[in-house]
Amino acid sequence: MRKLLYPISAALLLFLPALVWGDEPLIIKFATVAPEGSTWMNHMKELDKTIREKSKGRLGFRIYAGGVAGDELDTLRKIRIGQIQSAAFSGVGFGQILPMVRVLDLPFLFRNDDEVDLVQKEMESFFAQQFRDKGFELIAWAEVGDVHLFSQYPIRKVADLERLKVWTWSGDPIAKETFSAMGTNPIPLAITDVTTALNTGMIDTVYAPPLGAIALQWNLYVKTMTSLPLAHSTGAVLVARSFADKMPPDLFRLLKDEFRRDMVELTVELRKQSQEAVALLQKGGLQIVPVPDEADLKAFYKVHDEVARALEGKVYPKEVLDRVYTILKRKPQ
Amino acid sequence: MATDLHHWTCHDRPSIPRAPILFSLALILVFFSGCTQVVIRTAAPSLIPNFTASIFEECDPELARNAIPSNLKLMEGLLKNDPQNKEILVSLSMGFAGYSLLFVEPEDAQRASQLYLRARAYGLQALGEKGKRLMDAGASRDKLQAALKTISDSDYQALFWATLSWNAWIGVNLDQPKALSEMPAAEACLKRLLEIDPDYLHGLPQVLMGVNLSARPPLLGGNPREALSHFEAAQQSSGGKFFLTQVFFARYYAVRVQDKDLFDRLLEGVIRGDPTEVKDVCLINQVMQQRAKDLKRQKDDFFF
Repeated sequence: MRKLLYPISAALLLFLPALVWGDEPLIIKFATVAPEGSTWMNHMKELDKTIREKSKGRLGFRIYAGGVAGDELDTLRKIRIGQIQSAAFSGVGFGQILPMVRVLDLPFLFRNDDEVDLVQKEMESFFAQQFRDKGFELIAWAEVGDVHLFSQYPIRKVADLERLKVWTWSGDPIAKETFSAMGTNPIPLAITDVTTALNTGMIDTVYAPPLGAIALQWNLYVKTMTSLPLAHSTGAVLVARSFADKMPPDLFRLLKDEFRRDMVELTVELRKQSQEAVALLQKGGLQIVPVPDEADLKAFYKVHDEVARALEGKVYPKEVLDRVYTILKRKPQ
Repeated sequence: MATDLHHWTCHDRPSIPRAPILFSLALILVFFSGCTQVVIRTAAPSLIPNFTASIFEECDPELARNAIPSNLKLMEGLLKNDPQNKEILVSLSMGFAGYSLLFVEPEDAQRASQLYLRARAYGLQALGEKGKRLMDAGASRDKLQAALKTISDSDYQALFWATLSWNAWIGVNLDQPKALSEMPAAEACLKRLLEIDPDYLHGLPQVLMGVNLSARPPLLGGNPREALSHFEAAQQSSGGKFFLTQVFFARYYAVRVQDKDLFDRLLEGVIRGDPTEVKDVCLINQVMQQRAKDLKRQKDDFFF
């Protein structure tokens, strides 16, 4: 009897670890500032379901919503100490991880969404390698969207900004340079102080994506929105390399494929919502200032040239900017 | 005079069978058009408040879950004959909001969203002209404040259930620009409730404010410190006997500030507590005790 039992228990012992691991999926801890119930979160939950199904339970997400992990910089710290493994970042986080990617946030760079999509596609493998060198895997682009100017006064041409009290996000070199090039001395403030500053009249002009302006309730303190986007704000989902490198290759591929597919859908949805948001703002009484005519538009594009030149070698190398221009078939002036 | 009356009744009333005829007369009054309103108007003050008191008193969640929808349909029927009846409207608002919050939202946010809208519509309708002014105020802070100033004590319940369902609707629709744009109005209503009576239904207005302030990131107006004081005030208001407070306190505040001990302590208190102790919210306490157990199991999903 004992002779018979022995091989069976030995075999069980051999299989036990596999059985235990089989039950426990590999969990990616993902943080987002998007609250529960938002489009972002709904997408993440769907994605989690899909990934669990397709990996047959080997891979899944644990999602920390609503900024429980803190802002982008807190989240970055948590990733660096291994508390979480993945998050979506935008300009603020990029500034710490890989400033050069912010070339995509330059003012008046993109003329339409197709240009955005084209440049992101063409530059992806280049930026992916850059992120890898900094310890991150670029999983998918995830845009914040077009950022517009909101003001107490209509902004029809660059000169209109001169007399305005414009907010800039403290520590953002691109915004600071942009408003300086427009002839105004911007007032740097933390984003949490903007509403109060608008209320007291300390500032009268801000910038945000239309949906963001509604969510932040800034629309209640201004009278106009400028149709011409100030910039397109890029974001991306990153995973810590220390984690990604240990993932079984098939699971990493699954993660990347599914995430990318989902982010493309999300982008379409967010762009649609952005239009809805503008319509709502207009209905709520905001004056939507149309895109200026040729001559005034040129002045805005000139601001782009100035800012792009000023930040060369500071935020991004000249070659990276040149690559973007080449893809857009645009000649720097 | 007395003799005259006696004389009159004696001559005009048939001598036999009196009672059955009276009874059928009453039935005719009830079932035939024109008279229906009269009967319901007299019935409403006693019938409707009884229903609303009893829905949250039911200690058996399964029974309540099955019974509430048909009661709501019945009340919608009553409303058809008396569309401005404030008591029916408030009861409907409360019924739809409570049913959705307790039974539907955890399983089907989309369906809950529709029910919240229905609850809000009834609540605002109960406020009559004042409700219309609230909706029309839109994003204008001045108009909103002017409309809210006219809300008096007698409007409280209507505003409360409209506000609860409004905020809950926004909570499940944060991906809709329209819901985001209505946030300031919904929150202004909540602030007005806190001004008039923060202790209503064991401090529920405080809980709602606490949830709003902790569920949102600071960027979007969240403020954990203020949220804490609202939850603590709510705890004080109920003496810790209204379980919804502890469950939402744990789920939203403790998770926001990543306080595992607080999370455990609040949920343990609910799990060990007696849900039947406070009679008027027995149903809510039963459902929340179950939710506390579920949350305890999901703890790892909330903390790093």
